[in-house]
Amino acid sequence: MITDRKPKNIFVQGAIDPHFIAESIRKHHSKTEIGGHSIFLGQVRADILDGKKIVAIEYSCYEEMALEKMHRIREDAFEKYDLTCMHVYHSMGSVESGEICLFIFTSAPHRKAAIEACSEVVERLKAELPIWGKEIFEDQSYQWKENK
Amino acid sequence: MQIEILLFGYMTEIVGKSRITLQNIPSTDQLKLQLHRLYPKLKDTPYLIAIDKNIVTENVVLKDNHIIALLPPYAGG
Repeated sequence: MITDRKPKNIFVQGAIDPHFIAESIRKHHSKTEIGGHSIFLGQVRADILDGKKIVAIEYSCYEEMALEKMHRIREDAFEKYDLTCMHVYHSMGSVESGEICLFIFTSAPHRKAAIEACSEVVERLKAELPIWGKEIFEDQSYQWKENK
Repeated sequence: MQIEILLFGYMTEIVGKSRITLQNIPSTDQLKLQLHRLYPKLKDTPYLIAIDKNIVTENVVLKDNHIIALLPPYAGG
C-alpha cells in the first residue's frame, strides 16, 4: 500500500511528560469516528544489580535508521489493522527511573485493532529499532542495557 | 577504496570513536577480520553490521558510497 505518510521524528529529549500524554489524548476528541484507544507507556525501572540501584537510563540511537525502520512498522500497522491514527514517542538522552521513556498510542473505530496494533508496535519497536541505553547507577558507574 | 564506518552504543567505547575510516576493505567478511585485528575485544563482542541502514548477515561486497554501521544488540523501550 502506498501512502503519503512521511517518516516522522519519534524522538524527544529526556523523559516524556505525563501532561503531554494527557494533552495527546485530549486532542482526539474531535476525531469522533474513534471508538477505542490503546496506550503503552514504558517506564524506567530502578533495578538493583549487585547492590547498586539504577537511577537513570541514557538513551542513544542511529537516528536515520531508526526513523526509517519506524516508518516501515507504522506503514505495516496501518495496512494490517483498521486504525484511525497512531503516535509513537521514544526518549533520547537521560531519563530518570520512574519517568516515562516510551509512549505508543493507537486509535481505531473498534478496540481490537487498537489493542493488537499497539502491542505489535511495542514488540517490533524493541526488536527492530537501533536504540541503546546506558543504565546509570547511584555511584555514576554504568552498564549497557540489554532487552529481555 | 576508503570506507567510513559509524559506531554506536558500546562499540564506540571499544573502538574509542564514533566514526572510523578504513582503506581497501573489499567485503564485510574482510571488514570483520580487519576490525578484529585492530580491536581484538570485538572478537568476543556481539554486534551487527548494517549497510545503508539494513542489517547484513552474509558476506557483502562493499562499494565506495556504502554507509557502514556497527550496531550492538538493540535495547530500545
